[in-house]
Amino acid sequence: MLEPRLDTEELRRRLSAVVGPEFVSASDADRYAARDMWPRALLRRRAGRFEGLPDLVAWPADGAQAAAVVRIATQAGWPVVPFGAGSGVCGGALPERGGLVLDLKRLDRILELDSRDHLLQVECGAVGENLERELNRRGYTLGHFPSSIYCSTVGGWIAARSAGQCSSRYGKIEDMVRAVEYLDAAGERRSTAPLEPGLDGFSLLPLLVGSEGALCVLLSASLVVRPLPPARAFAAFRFADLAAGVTAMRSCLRAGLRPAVLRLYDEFDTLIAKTGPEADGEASSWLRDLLGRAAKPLGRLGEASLSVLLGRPALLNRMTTLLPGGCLLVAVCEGSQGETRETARALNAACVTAGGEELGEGPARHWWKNRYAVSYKQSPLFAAGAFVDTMEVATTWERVLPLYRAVRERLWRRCFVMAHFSHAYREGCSIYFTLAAAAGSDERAIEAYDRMWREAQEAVLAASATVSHHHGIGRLKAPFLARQLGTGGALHRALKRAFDPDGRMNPGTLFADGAR
Amino acid sequence: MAADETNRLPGSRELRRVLPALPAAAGDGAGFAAAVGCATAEEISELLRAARADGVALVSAGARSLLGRMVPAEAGARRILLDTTACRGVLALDAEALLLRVRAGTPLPQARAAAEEAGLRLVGVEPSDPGTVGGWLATTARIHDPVLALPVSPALGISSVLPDGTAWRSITSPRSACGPDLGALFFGTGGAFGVLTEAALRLAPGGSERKRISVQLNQPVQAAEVLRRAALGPLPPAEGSALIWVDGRGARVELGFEGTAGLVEEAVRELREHLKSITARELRSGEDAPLAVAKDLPVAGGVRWSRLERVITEFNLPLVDALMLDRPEVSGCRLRVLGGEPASLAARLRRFLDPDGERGRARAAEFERLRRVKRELDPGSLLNPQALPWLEREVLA
Repeated sequence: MLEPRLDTEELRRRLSAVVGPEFVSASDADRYAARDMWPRALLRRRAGRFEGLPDLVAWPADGAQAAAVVRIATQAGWPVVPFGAGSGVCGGALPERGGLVLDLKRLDRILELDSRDHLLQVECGAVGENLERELNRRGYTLGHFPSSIYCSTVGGWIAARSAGQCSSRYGKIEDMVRAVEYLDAAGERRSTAPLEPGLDGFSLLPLLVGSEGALCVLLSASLVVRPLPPARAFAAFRFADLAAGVTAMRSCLRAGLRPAVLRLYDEFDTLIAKTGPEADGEASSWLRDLLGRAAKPLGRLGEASLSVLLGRPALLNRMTTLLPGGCLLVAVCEGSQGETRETARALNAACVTAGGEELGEGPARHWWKNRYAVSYKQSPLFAAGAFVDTMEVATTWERVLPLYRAVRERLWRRCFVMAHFSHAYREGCSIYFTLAAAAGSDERAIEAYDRMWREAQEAVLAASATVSHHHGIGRLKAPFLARQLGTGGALHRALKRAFDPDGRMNPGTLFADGAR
Repeated sequence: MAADETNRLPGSRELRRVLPALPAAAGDGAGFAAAVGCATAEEISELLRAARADGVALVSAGARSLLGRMVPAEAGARRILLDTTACRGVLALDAEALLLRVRAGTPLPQARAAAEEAGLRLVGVEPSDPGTVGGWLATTARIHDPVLALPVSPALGISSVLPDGTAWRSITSPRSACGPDLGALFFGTGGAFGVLTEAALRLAPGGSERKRISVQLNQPVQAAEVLRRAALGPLPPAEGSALIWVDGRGARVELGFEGTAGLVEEAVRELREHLKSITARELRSGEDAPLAVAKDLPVAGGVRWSRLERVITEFNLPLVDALMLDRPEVSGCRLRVLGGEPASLAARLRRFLDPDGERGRARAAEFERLRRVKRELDPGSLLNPQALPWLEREVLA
């Protein structure tokens, strides 16, 4: 990468002329906030290490301003990191090499909603919940409900190939997107031609979706929307073990059903899902409470004992195997009245045939009510000196359970592990692992964190599963993606050089070696 | 192959070493400096490396079934034809994950038969496709997913040999979030970025219940609306097509539903409710012989529902006999034309759909970027050099 040719003050002056002085900042607060929620970076900051701050943050008002900002910055030799709402957890938006963060939240307009073609044209800075509410008001839904919906943007979803909780019915974001407008590294505004319905010709679009800001800046997107479903049904089942639950999920998809949600929890996650982090309760130690429940003999756990317990993950993991058996599956069906009724009926039959015990609507309704809450409940663990992260991987049905077991086995002594199975497709599904541990000091916690991820991803690679299903790659998984790709890394490098020959766009993310 | 054939490639030291060990191509290699068949990825790798070292172009081909959309295997004095049909065979059928792993040179009918033997069917493959799996993937960027009623990639995993001769196997996963979808470089790009050697194709179980409905409509625009509603209905149709005559004979729609009995019943009930509201006539058994339409009818374009009405009402040229709509999706469907000169009509209809050339310019820009990627991977454009220009011509015609 070339050295910057302009100093911060000069660049700030030039950018101010484009977006206005109030929309360019070098303040500590703005620079600190301009990054994602990668737990490793949080640990480092807890340890007092404040790397990964940009030199400047700019907030363009529209595509024209964004283009001018990118042109000025890249011509000056500055790295540009596109930024949405910062919900990422992989270090995808983390300006480790400084430079400019291009915050796109002011590009949040709905440009067009075509009710006949069910196509939405929206700017990429739109925050998910705001967008969904507006679509609902007009009688539509995007059908994309990531648990980060309150703090993630359309552009972030597309950049990281996000999945919402209803992906079994509506698909992942890459299934919904039909075209994008983007800025290339030279700051030129370009658009992909909209995918033509029913046609199968080449499109550049799949090469830009998932590019995590390393190839381009996404400005706006055309997305498929659906009429707001008039009916919704809830159901829950208990299975003797995971294998029976996975069989039920697979049977539902195989029958051609389109449930909005199918989530199967392992034994410990079942405890959490059943009792749940209360949405209206204090944002306090849900994991501590549940660990307490799982380990009643230890009595009420304080912050210190939580850390102590998480510092002995093998013991904790062993305790979970002593839990009363049973895995919870929650299901949500939606659509027209008739479709919802028939889907729920067929789903019920498939689950009962697979050995499921009907639990009524309660657990599924409880999950629905609290479906966005869990993302906001992790801070107390960090405050207690521990750390927690999540790993979402995917594979085909026959490898799902071996993958689950392999990851647990590998991490048995490294961290506490629980998981749920969701995002079910006809060919397979995702496993969402929650990993928690504690170490004696922040420095040791960072080491433990790195070790935990290395071990976890080794297990995933060995099982020939994909290293990410919907969080993306960022810095966290870039080395593992490079290994997953193997010789296909040459394709990545070619893409990077073709789109960003000088390596200005979000350097360090996605491409482990900077695509050099 | 015969050693004397290698004499046609003067100065090609590496190829002279590699070519004699390879069998001659199964089909006609007229016009090529040499025509060879490769049965394994290793052979393809070695051939690609040698061709690259000697600066000789290599054109890969499957069955050369010459369907309208196929990229032609253009001959040339400094070009070698690589016939991949010997790289064939079904590797595994995973009935649990609904995947069929096949070698790329496998004829589609063979792959289809393997699926049918297990009571499954290949997703996205037309029953009439005679080519190879590799040829189909190289010309098919997306297929229709009836569950989502949206397009998806045609294979979940591939193996290929890259232009420099490196073999690459992608992961096989239902979905992922691992950067750009690299499969897009291989699906629908005519072999410009590699020679496919294996693929994991999607399978679908036959629904427990099947129902086919044929409808006669007086108003052509109603046909588009019936298809549109079906795509958004409780069970997106496994098959859906409409033939619209422009001479006042109205239109006919055929829809096939597959799924659980309850959902099929529900989809048919909703459809009939709509048909009742527009006074359409459902054809009885005996009246509903399947529509017979030429398989190689040129495609005019994919048309959004909102624009289709204008096409139906305004693109009423005397030369057009009928419009054929199929592959209904949430946002639109495929459009073909029947008439005296379908190819020129299709071109006229494309211009009608994109009068200011906006789409054409966007497509040109996409190809410009794709050529850059090609230059990075294949600086001399030695692997399938005809692919991108041909695809671009097709798209921008």
